[in-house]
Formats: sequence, structure tokens, C-alpha cells
Amino acid sequence: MSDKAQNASSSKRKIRRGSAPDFVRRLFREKPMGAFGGMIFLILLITGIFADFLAPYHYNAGDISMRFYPPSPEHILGTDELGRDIFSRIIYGAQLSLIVGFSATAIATIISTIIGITTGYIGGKFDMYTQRFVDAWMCLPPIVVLMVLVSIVGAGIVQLILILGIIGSIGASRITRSVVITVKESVYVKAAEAIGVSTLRILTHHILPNIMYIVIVGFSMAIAGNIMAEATLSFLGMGIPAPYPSWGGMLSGPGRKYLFHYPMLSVWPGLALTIVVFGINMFGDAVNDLLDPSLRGGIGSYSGESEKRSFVRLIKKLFK
Amino acid sequence: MENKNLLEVENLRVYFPVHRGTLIKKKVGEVKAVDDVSFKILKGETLGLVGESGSGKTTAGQAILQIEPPTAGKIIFEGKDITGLEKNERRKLRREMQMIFQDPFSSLNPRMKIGNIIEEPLIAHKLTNNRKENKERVEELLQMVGLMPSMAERFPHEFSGGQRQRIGIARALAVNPKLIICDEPVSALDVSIQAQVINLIEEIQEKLNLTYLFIAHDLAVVRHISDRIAVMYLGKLVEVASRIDLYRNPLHPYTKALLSAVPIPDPRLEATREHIVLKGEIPSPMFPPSGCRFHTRCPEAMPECSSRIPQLKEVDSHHFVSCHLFKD
Repeated sequence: MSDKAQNASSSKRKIRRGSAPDFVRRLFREKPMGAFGGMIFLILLITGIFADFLAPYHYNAGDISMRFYPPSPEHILGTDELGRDIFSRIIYGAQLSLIVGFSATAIATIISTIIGITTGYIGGKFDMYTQRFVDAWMCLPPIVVLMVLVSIVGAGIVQLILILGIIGSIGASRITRSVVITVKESVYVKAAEAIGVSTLRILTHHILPNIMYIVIVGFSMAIAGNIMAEATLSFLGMGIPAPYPSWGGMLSGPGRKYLFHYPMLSVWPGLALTIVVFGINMFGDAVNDLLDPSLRGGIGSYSGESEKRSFVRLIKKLFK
Repeated sequence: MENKNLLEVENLRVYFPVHRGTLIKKKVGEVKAVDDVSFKILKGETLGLVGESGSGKTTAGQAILQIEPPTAGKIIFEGKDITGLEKNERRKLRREMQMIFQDPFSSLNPRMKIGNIIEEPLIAHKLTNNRKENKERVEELLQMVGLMPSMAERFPHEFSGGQRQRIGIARALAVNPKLIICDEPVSALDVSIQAQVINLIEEIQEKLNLTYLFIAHDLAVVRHISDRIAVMYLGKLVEVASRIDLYRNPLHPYTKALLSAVPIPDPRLEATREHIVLKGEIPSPMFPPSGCRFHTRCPEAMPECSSRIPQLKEVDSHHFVSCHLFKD
């Protein structure tokens, strides 16, 4: 115990608390599952960014005479119904998921932060009317809204990003707003008002830095949701147009058609999607636990060790 | 003569409406936090404002700074009525009046460096021309409150309560105000630190010729720092007098009870002394007692007290009391 405390204090001198290296260290030490998720996320990032170098073939280059090839040294995961390399298509699919997931989430986060900060800080009637609109919006099933909007605007990457971003921002603004309301009541904001600091400066210098953790958490959690949403829409044929490899599209088109004869066609994109969404969700959960100040250190925060122990207990229970 | 008053508060009222219902709001009552309070602060003096918790001292202070808008009444600062000013005018006013907050742990933004916290008023009021001047002023202020200039690069969580309160004082001083409202500046601190901070507040007053409204519930602290003292009970002033008069000759039964609660550092005297112990709690400011608000707990209550509201009247030179025991 004392050894641990000493360790912490000695490393504290080198790494400032709350800095990025400190965060990574805590992620690995306290949240092994989160670190695992983070690594999956990192792999997705690298795959997406360097897709052009990593993929052995172009996503649309196929030889019709080589269709439905089983896995081989040339085609690691085999070929699809048009003789295209599945492995390359999965890699390009990762790129697409990444672009859509990241851009849509970025748009959603920016808009939701602006809505949340303004409604939360200004309050009163403005807050009341905006939030009733948000209430009404959240009553609509998102998938239906998505499909309606896509059929109005038309399919395409840019359209999809904008639609997902705007839809996601409205619900997410609720969380930001609730945190803004608590920060707004703090004495240092009152002090800034008493000093005569302008409203804009209070929002950017006092409110925003103190709600940043919830913005980051919201961002990491929403990425998985948006990747899923893109896959869902592509699965329904309303997402990214055909030759471009979306994981959702690969599942629905040839995947469904040849499900019984060549199940691997749908297994690979399905597996990729599952792993990525699982990894990002684990990472997002860990980020939430690590950044939430109310869980820091004291009761409620659980270390990696106790998490492992409870996991072991769960496994034992299952196999009894 | 008129100019000697830096601040005049006339019939100040701050009511907080109490609503019920979400969509259709119905006003069900009011919390009369400050009810018909008038007092004056002379240039260069310290007026102590005391009272138990819930008596409306903090609200009165915030109303003067217009953080809480007053419901009614006038606040006259340097001969000018400052109630109901435009937003921009109000901001200009903040150059003249500042506030030191009670809790030094929550009054500093945890994500800002000390230097940025102290230079914020400079930026807000455009008092300096460039970053270099800002930095020099911040260093000067830090030295004035007894901190090292190098501390500007640190974050609030690296400081103790007393140091944080010094930072709060430096922030209030940044705009060179004329009036500082000290809202219980030492009640969150250790007794050993309290003396240091109080001495600092006094020192700065002398150096910069400041005027203080010193809000506190610790009578020993108030006695040390104030020139005059105003006692509040449930939103109303019950007694205003010079420090010496108030402690030697308290007139209002409430003031007597308050003073008898202050321990005397002499065990023999303390044992033989008469203590006036008030019964019960302070009543709800939503439903204040009729007549004199203190009559429910007053040891000397008369039938008259529950029907007529006593007015603040001068019973001795510069000694004001609102109590039916004293006739003009």
C-alpha cells in the first residue's frame, strides 16, 4: 500500500495530473478493458487513415472469374460475388466508418455544445422553448427520422454526415445543458459576473473549460452510435451508394443474398462492425469514468483491480 | 457633507418569488430576504453587517453590487442612484465596487491559472494596454496581498484556503475599486489564518483608502475590523451604532443576546456572567412574524410588539434601534 502511494507520488512529479500522459497511464492502470477498447479504436484510426497503403487491392477492382474464392495468400479473407478482395473492402469500409463516424460526431458535438451552453446559461423562456423542442424531437424514433431525411436529401457521404450530425446534436445538447446549469451556479461564475466579465467571455473562459470533460465523453460515446447508424442506413440501402464499400452495405447486398452458400461474405463485415463498436463503447465508458470529477478517487470510482475481481466473480458464478 | 457618504441604501427590499407549477407558474409567496433596510457607509470607514444565517446579510451585499436585482428601494453610490442601470452601465459600476467571496474554494475557477484569474478584471474593463502591463499589474497585486509573483503560473488547487482568499482579494483589488463588499471573507478559514487575512484586509484599506461593507457572523471579527456595526435580523435592521457603543451598550434585545453568546477569554468571568439564550430557530422569511419580527423569540416582548412594526430611530447620537422598548 505504502509502496503504491510512493509510486504514485514519485510519478506525480514527472507527469502533471490531468495531462494527456497522465490520462493514458490511468487508462491502462485503472481501466484495462477501456485500454483494450482504446487500442481497437487506435487500430481503426490507423486503418482508416492509411487505407490506401494498407489495402492490397482497390475496393472496386475485381475479376468476375475469381468470385467466391475462399481465403488464400492473395486474398486473405477471400473474394466476394464480383471477385473483389474482401479484406481490401473491409479496410476501405473502416475508412468510410471513420470518416462518417468522426465527422458526424464532430458536427453533433459542436452544435450540441453551443445549444447546451446557450440554453443552460441564458435559461428562462429561451431555455424552456428550446428544451420543449428537444423533448418533442426525442419522441421521434431516430431511425425513421433518418430514413425520411435521407430520402428527402438523397444518399451520399456528405449528406449522411450532415444528417447524422444534426440529429445527434439535438439529443446530446440535453446532457451538456444539465452540466452547464450546475457550473453556472458555482461561485466562480458569480464572481466573474460581479467583476463585470462579458457574457461571451464567461461562456468561453469559465463555463466551457469546466464542461469540457462531458463534451469529450459525449464525443467518444457518440462515435460508436454514428458508425452503427451509418451501417444501419447502408444496410437498408439508404446510406452510401453501392460500389463504395460500407460495412452495412456489404452485410445487406451480397451478404444476405448468398448467406447460406457463402456465409463468410457477411461474417467479415459483421465481425469488423461488432469489434469496432464494442471497442469504442468500452473506451467511451472508461473515458467517462476517468474524466467524471464526481467519480475521481473516492467512493464510486473503482480501480482496475476490483473490476478484474468482479469480472472473475461473474465468470465463476456463470460456470457454477 | 452629502459627499461624505460613499454609499446610501434607502428602503432596500429584495424579495424572491416562490413559484409552484411547471407550465402555468403560480406565485405562491415571497421570501423577504431583505425588507426595508436603510443605511449609509461613509468614505473610508468599515461598516460591519452582522446577523445569524438566513438574516439576509449576503443578499443585501449582493443587491448593492446588483448581482441580485433589488425588488424596491434605492442604492445611491457617490450621489448617483445605481438601481435599475443598463447592463453596460452596471458593468462600469463594477470598476468602483468589488466583492470578496465567502468560500475561497469555490470562488476561483479550477481550470484557470492564478495569473489569469487576477488579470480577468483588467481584461474585462480594458484597464491595461497589453499583456506585459497585465503581467506587471498581476505581479504587483500578488505582492500586495503577500504572495509571490511566481505563483501566477499555478492553479487554484495548489493553494491553501488562506492563500486562495488572498488571491480573491487580489482579484477584487485589480480594478482599484472604492468600495469592497467582504462577504464573510474569513468564516471559511481556520482561526489561525483568519487573523492574517483580516490584518491584510485592514492593511490594504489603509494603503488604498478603501471603504468596506464587512458582512460576518463572527462578532469578534466584526468588532476588530468595523468602525460602525449594523445588526440584521430576518431581513430587517435592528440596531446600528458605532463599534464602541454597540459593544458597551447594546440596546436591542437581539443584539444583547448575540453579544452574550460571545465567549469572554476569562473562565471566572465567563462562569459568573449572565447568558441570554434565545429559544427556537429563526422564523421562515416566507412567513415572517407580524409586528416586530423578533417578538417570537424576544425575552422582553410586549403585547404591542406583535401588532406594530417598529421603525429604526435614533435613541442616542448615531445609535439607531428599532424596538418598542425605546420611545423617541
